[in-house]
Amino acid sequence: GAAEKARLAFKLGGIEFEDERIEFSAWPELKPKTPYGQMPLLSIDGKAPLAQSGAILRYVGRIANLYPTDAEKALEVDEVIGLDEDFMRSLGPSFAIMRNPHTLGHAADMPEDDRKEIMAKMRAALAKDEVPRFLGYYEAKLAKTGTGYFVGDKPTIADCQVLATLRILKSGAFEGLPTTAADAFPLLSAFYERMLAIPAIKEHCSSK
Amino acid sequence: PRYKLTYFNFAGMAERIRLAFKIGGIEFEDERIDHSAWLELKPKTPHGQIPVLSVDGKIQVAQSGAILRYVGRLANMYPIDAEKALEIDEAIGLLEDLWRSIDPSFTIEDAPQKLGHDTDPPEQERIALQARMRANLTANDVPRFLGYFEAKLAKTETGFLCGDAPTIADCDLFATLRTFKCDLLEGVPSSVVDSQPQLAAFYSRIMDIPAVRAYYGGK
Repeated sequence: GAAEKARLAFKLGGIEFEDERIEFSAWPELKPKTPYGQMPLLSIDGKAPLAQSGAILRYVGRIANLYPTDAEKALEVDEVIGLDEDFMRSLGPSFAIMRNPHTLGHAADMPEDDRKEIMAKMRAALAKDEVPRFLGYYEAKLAKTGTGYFVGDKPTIADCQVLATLRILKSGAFEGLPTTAADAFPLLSAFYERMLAIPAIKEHCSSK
Repeated sequence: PRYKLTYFNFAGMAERIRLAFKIGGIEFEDERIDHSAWLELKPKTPHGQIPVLSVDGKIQVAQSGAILRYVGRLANMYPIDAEKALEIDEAIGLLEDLWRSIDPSFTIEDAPQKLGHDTDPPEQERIALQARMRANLTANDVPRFLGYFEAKLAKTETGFLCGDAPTIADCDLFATLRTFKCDLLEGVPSSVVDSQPQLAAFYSRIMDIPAVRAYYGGK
């Protein structure tokens, strides 16, 4: 989920961290104790936690040297991150229809079967449009950089962001989105393998 | 370098960037285009999106968050210190979450099928649905998120969100508040801001910055 890109950045940067995972069942009790009813949360030296996965990712990037300080390079990194956030945002309604249909203008008590039908239609549309479109942007960016990484010649948090997305796509967790969508993109596929071959990442991904 | 920001002629996602340029005192061309100009420009942009930032005549980048941070770095409004930046990024992220919750109430108007409705429900129905969604936002999401910022401002005591001078987080918050204050979001009244003392004071404080006041022409 939203925490994975930050975990990858910690691992890639070789920075020790406590990877606390909460059970779904424990969340309702914990939620009101969090600053904004959200996770992931980052706590530094036991201090009050901060939220927002993008903020946490950037923080880890700064302390792990995975987020360039040069304004132009950082701009490239932020652009890739922003694109991926747009990609993930496009999936939003297909989750909302199941959990909170009234936020999309449907009846709050919409029957489960109707929700599933609409979700399937939404995911089919995403599979045809957004998925190849965004994966195509990533492919083009890799072609432009030419180094095998999204920005510059070594991994940055932009690579962590996209890697996390590719992993969820391939896992089938987004029902209705083809797990093989990235296969059509050679540079992106090579990127995926390259990142997974990095020892710290390989270890992290195999230990779950 | 010559900077040009290209966007539509409204606030939207570009406003926080315009404010960062203004407050940071960095010259830029505030290019505003209409729909037909957009259709012509779109294929020339990196990802079919605006705002885009051009530097010395060349389109460099899209993604408003990326541009906002870039301008923040140039203008000294985005600290290098990791923990200070974390606070700012958290605030920016929260505002993005707020706008994400508001998004469907726009989509219902121009692309209801993306929300699982039949294509082209009649205008009356769309307006009614939008009104209901906006009412829900006014009752729930908007006060919840604004409440976080009300609390933050009470805590920082400096009058700004992070530290004792405006940062890009303040640009982002002000732009959001202005949308509500100027009744730019139909169905969400300006009272959502006016009812919050810290936010109301923050709004005036930013508005009083000479560059901001000049930008809005005293409006």
